Amino acid sequence: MRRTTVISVAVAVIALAGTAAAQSPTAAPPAPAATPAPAPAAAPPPPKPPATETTPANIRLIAGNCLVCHSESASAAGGMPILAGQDAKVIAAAFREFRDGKRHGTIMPRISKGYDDGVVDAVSAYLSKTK
Amino acid sequence: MTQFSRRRVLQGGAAIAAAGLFMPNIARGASPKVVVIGGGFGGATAARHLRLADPGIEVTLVERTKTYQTCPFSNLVLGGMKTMDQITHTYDRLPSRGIKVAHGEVVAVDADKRTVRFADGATLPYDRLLLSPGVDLRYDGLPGYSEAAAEKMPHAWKAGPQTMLLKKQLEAMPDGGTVIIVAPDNPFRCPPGPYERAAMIAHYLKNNKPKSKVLILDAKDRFSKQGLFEQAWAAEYPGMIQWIGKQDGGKAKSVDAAAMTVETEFGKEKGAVINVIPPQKAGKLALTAGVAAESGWCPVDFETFESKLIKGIHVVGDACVAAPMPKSATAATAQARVAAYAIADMLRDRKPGAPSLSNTCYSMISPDYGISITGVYNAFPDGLKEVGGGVTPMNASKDDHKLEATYAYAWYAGVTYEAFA
Repeated sequence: MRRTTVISVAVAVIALAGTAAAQSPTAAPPAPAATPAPAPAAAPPPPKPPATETTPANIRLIAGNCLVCHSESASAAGGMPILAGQDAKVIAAAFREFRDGKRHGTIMPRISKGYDDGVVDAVSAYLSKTK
Repeated sequence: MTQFSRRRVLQGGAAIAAAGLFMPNIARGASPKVVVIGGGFGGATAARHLRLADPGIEVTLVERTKTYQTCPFSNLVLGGMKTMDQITHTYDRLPSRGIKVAHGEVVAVDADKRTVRFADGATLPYDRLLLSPGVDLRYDGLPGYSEAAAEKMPHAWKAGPQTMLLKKQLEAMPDGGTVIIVAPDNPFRCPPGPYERAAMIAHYLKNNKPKSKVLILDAKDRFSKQGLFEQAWAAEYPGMIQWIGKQDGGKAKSVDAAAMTVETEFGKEKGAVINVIPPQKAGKLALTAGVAAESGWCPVDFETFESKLIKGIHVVGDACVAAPMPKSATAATAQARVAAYAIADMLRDRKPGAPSLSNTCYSMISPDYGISITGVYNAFPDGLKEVGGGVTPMNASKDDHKLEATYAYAWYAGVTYEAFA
């Protein structure tokens, strides 16, 4: 019951975060305007980031995926970092480092490839407000 | 506590009633009722999230048995790394989450009247029904195999007595014998499972019967995490595990439980222990409800996991067609959350959005050696697509394999906590 209340609050907070995220074109990749046309021999560009909805409902679903392993019970069993209640900036920075190859990991470097910056920020904000 | 949603629910019910689909209970002013059938990972997780999504929803979880042995980590029981007790869970704590638990066997679903009927004749009404039927074994899928043959050649593909039977057979076999694993073609529950099982059996044999071998006879030419498994088998159990794919004659044509042989196109292989993992289909409940297609599996809409065959019934987990997501516990829980929040939305006459799902499957090679596959999936109009993820890199360090083994335990603790605790 208490948990439900907390989550309702979190959802409300994320509704704001989601709105903020929606105002910037986060689903689109960084504008390639400054990049010169690739030479014919150049390697193909990395695949376009996926269009993931940043609605509060979808951010809650994605956070739900994170929380399977990053929960208190999981952490007790395997030294996994607990994400609920962590600083959103810390979560987002770690996630980006995994995704961008700047931090060693096991499964996170792979999973993180599936999420763009807008999603990362919104999910991190959600997790930070989750108890 | 349901006041906030009552009006929306009424509107939703009115809209649905206007569409002529059913006369909902919610139109009579009661709480919306969702019945969840199947208390595995999909069903139990869905029940939890239905209550989190809207405490005004009356959620009843229907399950035949009082205890649940998880398929995840059941291979570790074979390897001696876990006991059956450690992978056994109950539904005792679910009522404290506001979930009603009903033990019984559902024998009929009336999708028009929106009721389910139990074997004893009792009925339960629903506004939306969520099924997590799991898989049934297709005993007709391999000549010579049958429910009776499974008592001599266990499938152990549903954790429980079959797991213990296989374990006892391994303990009774002589050193120097061959354990044969007959692996099925796709799709089937837990794609890496047969190959993790080979490692776990080899783990037991290495410590107890080191002259023995494991032979995998496979109905397909490739398998999940193949390179990683082959590398890991060679590292941890050199010379002990042999895999023969379909193109090399590995497909079983028939089995003979009396002779303890498996026939392939190259003749008969005799095993001291034979583990037959037969082809599979959606659990019988899917057939009962009429949501299984000719393929044996259940087509669903990926925004809601509502059946494409019968409205008002949602199907999650191994029984549904959700490729490229594998049939795994993690996938079932991700689908369960999508379905749960979608159902809450639909009961309030709100349209669910396009969801993101993910999957993680760890496989244990030895106590200090884990490998994994992950995937991130988005729902597009033409289906689910993988947008991220991948397998453990080849030649990962010993430290990383050890970490993955540790994380496998963390995953198990987390996924079972979410479903059952």
